[in-house]
Amino acid sequence: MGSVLSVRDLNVVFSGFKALKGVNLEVYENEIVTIIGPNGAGKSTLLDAIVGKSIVASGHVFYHDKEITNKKPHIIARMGIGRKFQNPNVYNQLTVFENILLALKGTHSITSSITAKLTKTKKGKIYDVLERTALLDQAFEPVSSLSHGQKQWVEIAMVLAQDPSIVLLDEPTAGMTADETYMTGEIIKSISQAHSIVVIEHDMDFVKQIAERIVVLHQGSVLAEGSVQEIQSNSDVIEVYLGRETINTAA
Amino acid sequence: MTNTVLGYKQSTFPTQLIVISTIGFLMFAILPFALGDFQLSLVSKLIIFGSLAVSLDLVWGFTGILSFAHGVFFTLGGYAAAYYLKLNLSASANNYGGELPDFMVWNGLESLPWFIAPLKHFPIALFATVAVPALFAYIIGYFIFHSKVSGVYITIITLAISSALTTFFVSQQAYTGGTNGITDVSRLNFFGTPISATGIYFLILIYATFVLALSWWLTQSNFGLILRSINENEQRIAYLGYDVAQYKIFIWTLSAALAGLAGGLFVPLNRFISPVYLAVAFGTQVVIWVAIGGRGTLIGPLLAAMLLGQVQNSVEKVTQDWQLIVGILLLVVVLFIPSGLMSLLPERFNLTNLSRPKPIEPRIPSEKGS
Repeated sequence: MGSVLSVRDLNVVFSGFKALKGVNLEVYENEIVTIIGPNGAGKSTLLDAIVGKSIVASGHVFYHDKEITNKKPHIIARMGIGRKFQNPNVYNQLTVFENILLALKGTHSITSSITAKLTKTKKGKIYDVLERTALLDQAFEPVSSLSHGQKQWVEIAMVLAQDPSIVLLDEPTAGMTADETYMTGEIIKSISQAHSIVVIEHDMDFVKQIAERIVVLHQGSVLAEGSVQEIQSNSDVIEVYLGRETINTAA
Repeated sequence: MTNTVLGYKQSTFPTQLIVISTIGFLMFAILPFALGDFQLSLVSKLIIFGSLAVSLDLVWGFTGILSFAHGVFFTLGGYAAAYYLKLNLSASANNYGGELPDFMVWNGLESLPWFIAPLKHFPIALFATVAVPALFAYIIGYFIFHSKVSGVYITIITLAISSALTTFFVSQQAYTGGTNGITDVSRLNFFGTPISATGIYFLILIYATFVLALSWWLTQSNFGLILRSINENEQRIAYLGYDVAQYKIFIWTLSAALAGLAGGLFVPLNRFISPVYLAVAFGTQVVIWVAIGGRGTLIGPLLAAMLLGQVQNSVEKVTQDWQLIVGILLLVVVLFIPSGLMSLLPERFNLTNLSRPKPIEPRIPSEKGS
């Protein structure tokens, strides 16, 4: 299997501060890569650089062997990379249904947006996504009336509706109850049957629920990479996390 | 399934919309039989301003781009029409009996400038009425919306454009008529017969109806949904694959074209055009109409423009300080009814809300897709 996403020697600089220093990352088909690391390690910046939000100073990002380094966000999105942001980045003034409708895979041209009709197929797809994210009952409510956890799901549902071949999730369980977190983990696992996934997470229980391969970022570089067991027993990782609760509960 | 969703054409026949708009249209259609010519031309002017306000609502109310330059687009269309009417004055009606308009003679021009001469022909003039403001808006929009400039800075740029163009038009007296603008233009003819005040009124009424219908149709489509989402958060939608700049440039240019044609219809009615309509004060008035009427309601800005125009007319008879009254009105609306006057009406009068989904069961189980 070839890699879906390939990040090579990536450097991102914010006015003199080196946020990412020579990061390498390979993501293969239908796998879940979990990125962990302390605050400020560069986790979100890595996703930002992939989707064209942060400018890459040097290095390359390849998507299916096509270079996408520093391309415009909408072009990268159209190629098949979906992104969920750290705080639910959804349209509060629109209904849940409309949020998903906006995200739905298809053409994004002005003419097609003017002439588009809500076909049975489209409706079916939207309801299907809403069912998978347990949002069917809220379909016609404005997003502003939903709980924080539900808003997170709305954004996950939007990414699903995009049907990207690679899904980037930035802390999908932030602000969720234990039950919601567990359910999110199950959703992510079901997504991974047909998509590659990169998840940024803090919650170690959640990481153990979903993780196949873990990448640890520290101060803008990859510190370690491996399975849950390998990471837990890695001495460098233990040092960085020394005395932190996350690694204790994980041990 | 009768359940409808904002962002798509209604699957059911929009009875309510048709009824409300037909009643509205008929009310205006019988006005010429009830009013004298003077009052009729006043109402015509208010309707033209109303359709100008609707064009601004598309970019401000729906897309969130606050523009003070809509007076400029309006006036550019107006000048195109004014050149046409001025150049078609019969030679005997011209003060100097020649081809050249009087203000050009006064300023020492000896022949018609090449860029004004073609406007003597109706099809070219009509095209220019739409194309000049649209092209101007496209060029500005292309640079603004592809740059990192956003929000209030775009608004400041529109203010600067308005000021700069006012100064430019005033300074180019030989070509633009300077501060006076282009006055004493001929009447609009239909194959040699001058069109009556009633005729102009119906032209304007049909145009306003067209602008409203087009805007409604656009904003009820998926395109309208995208405009609303650009308004709420333009960064997010790029990550869904939409080229935000392209959408903004499109609606900005379309809106300018609509404003320009409104200006083109304004001149046969008003019989002159001047840099007054280019100035920031007029651009601000358009913004006030939209703010008071209710952003994103289409019909609100139209009615507010007519209402405030009427207020201005009444107050002008008593005092010169009509702007004070309008200013106080604006303060009251912004402070107490921030969503505009339309929000005071029951929901069913908001034409842009007619296709909002009702909170009903979203799906019959058997309809489940694949």
